[in-house]
Amino acid sequence: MDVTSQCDIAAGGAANAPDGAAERDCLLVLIGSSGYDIDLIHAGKRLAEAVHAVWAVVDVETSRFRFMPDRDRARRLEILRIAESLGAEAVTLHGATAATTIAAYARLRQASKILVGSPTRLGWLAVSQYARLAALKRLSPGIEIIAIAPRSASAHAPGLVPRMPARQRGEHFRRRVRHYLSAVAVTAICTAIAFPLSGHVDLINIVMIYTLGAAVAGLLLGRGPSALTAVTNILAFDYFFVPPIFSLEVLDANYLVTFTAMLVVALIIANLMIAVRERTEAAGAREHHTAALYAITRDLAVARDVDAMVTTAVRHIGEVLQAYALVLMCDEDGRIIVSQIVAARDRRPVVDVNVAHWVAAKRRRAGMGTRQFPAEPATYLPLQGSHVTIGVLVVERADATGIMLSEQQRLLEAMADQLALALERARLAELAHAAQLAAERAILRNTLLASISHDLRTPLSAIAGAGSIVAQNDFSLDIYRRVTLGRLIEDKARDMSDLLTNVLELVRLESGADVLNRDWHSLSDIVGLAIARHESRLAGWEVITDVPGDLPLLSVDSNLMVQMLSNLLENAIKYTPPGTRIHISAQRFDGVIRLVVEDTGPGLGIDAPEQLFEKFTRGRLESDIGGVGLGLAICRAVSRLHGGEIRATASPMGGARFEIAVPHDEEPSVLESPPSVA
Amino acid sequence: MTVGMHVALVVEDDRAVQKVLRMMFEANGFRVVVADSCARGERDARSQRPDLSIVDLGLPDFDGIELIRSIRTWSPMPIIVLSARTAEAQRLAAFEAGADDYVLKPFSAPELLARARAALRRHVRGEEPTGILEFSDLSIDLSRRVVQLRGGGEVRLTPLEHRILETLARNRDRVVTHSQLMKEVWGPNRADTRSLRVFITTLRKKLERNPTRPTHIVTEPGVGYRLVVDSQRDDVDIDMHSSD
Repeated sequence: MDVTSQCDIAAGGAANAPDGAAERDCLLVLIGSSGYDIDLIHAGKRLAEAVHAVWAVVDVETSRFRFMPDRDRARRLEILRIAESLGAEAVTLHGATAATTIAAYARLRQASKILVGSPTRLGWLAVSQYARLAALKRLSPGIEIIAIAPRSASAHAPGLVPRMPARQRGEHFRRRVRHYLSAVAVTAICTAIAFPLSGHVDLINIVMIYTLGAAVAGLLLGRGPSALTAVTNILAFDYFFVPPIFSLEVLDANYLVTFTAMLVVALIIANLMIAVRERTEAAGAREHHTAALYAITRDLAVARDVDAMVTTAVRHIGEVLQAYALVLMCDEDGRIIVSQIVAARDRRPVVDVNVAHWVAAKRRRAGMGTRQFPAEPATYLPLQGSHVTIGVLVVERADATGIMLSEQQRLLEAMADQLALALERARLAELAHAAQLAAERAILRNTLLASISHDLRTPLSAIAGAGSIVAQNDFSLDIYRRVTLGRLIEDKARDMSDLLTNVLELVRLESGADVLNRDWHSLSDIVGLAIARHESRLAGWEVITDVPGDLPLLSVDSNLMVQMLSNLLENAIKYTPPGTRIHISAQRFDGVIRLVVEDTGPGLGIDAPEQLFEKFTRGRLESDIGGVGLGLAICRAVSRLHGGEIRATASPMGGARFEIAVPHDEEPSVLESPPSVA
Repeated sequence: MTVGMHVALVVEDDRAVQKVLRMMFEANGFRVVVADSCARGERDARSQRPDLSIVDLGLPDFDGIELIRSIRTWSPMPIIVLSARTAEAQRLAAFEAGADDYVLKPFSAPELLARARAALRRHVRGEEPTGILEFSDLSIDLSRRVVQLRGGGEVRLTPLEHRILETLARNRDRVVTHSQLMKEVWGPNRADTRSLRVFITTLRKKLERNPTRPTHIVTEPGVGYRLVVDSQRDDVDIDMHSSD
């Protein structure tokens, strides 16, 4: 049995929804076996309610389904929708015969009752209906089979489905006529081939030629025409080959056996051929279905955000179904946000927002081809998340008269499901990301508080101690000691101020708001400002700058860039002995300005320099050098905000090397080109 | 009080900072008047006729910028802002209100004194006609648009460079904001900071020994530029460390 449930996911959800559904009885209603499926469904509903059972309406698509007129198929689909609206699960099964398929499904669902239509047809068709009923009874021991008779003769559901347009009906008719004419042509061709051979070969070989023709007709023309071929073959054989020739008379009664065998063989071959063809076609259709689903699933998997997902889905739906589609997104409570419409392709479907609201609220489909708002030109499908409706998919066929076939409906629903899953995933990822951010922020806050309280207290104790010594009149301090204490107080206070600046700066940078205050700046100016900040302290170090004057201006936040360089210089002052050479250079590579700060000091002293850029990470733990490890974290935040990156390596000069790459745009034009030096 | 002693008005509400500033200025020959609000600062500025004001921005009654604006309506005295506000926009607002200088808290006493001294010097000198600017390593003859290097050699200035330098020289030792500079050089409605940066860079190439560490045309981040002229006339001599 090939169970591709029409709403596998939806059915699963519905089965889980009522409490204790597993213990409740299950009742199946088989449609398609009679002309009064609506009555059957209503009976099923009453019975299910009476015995408190869950009920499912099952449509079995046997191979014959493929050759049904589109109108009949649309009607069966519509009946499933009605069943759904009455609270049933709608299930579509594929199988060889209705009886075996539903029997297997009944065992799977542990159903206690199966409702089927009572045989009503007269003639030999009724025999097949009785046979099906009998087979069902035989295949389903322990399951009650209930055959329901129609309530009235006119119990069909008229007007539910729009009649096939006249143009299409005419085409359908012409195609059938063409097939029957072809069937006769096959006989004619067989006769044309066989007649010249007459007298040279045995009649048995002539029979073979006709049988071959019947097989070809079976392969190409369908059931009715190939039956016609079987009959015309016999007539032609009789007329042209069986003595007396050119007469339908048969003198030898043995030939009646030949005729019968020919007829039976031709019919069997035709049936087999048709079955093979149907299988192939069904496999092809399934493959198409699977390929389309695979394509959309694959593309949805790589789509990064909601917009990309919706655009992908809309494109796929457009291509596969020749339709225009758009998605109306819902807010967290499942209400439509009209402003959030995502559409693609040149044309959009006409959307009635009220219908969309209804679909979002009821979580049911509406619009064309459904019971609700059937006059709408588009079909509205809810994109169902686990809790709320994520959005509404609106699809309008490019060919306005085109009825969506059941395969297409199923495909569309499967695609909508895929989109809903992807969107749900995106939403959950967003939530998870937010939660992770919140957790990280909490950790950061705690670490920050711990570090700050430690790193503020240490310099404070030095300041307090030094201050108390200076204030003490008894201590005879010579000028050297007094100056030393004064300097110490100033230095420690400055350290605290720098720490505070860094903390505030980092908090601001990580707030994620639009913090960059970009303008055009020359890099040499920025380097100069950073050096100027540490002018007095850098006196003991040998600072060499190599910033070419012809570098392009950079569109950067100069304040932050200066802060970044200043932090690097600060580190150099803190971690290298006086006399160390600090080399600041800049070079231009294509599209990138590379700024390097390196020194001849003792180096980074850490195996994985990348860690230095983490917050509260320091090269030398528990050293006597003040700081909390925020300087480089700020450097990284600043370089990333500018679309660049910072790296720490060992310098060929022997010490540490920090390299910042900042992308630069094309050189800005200047009002008057700078004159060259005379 | 000695005749000729400078009077400094300190508008600051924090007692500790008041004390530090008073000590610092008095140790260096100033007479100090302290006000702890905008209103008192305004009153003292009118009654005490200070030579110089040190103004904090975060004052209890009004923003210090209001006080600067108000003083500027009747007095050209040097005003130095002493504030913990670091944002460029706030610095710019202070300069545009008429401040002469902006010193960040926490401040260093020698630096604040040096700035105060420079502001006073500038004020005493007033806006002299700018003929020849003398620097330690070069002199600039603005009328001839020639830079004479001490080591020998001449560099010519282009008309635009000359106009920039001329504008900076007229306000020597004072910050000239970007917009002010652009208006003077290019005229109104042609503001383009990129051009300004390019010309400052080329000017520095001609004037500075090391353009990356300029000593003549100094950047006031986010605000503008300042032409620093060494002066031989130090009318206020300040040295903290030798005062003991």
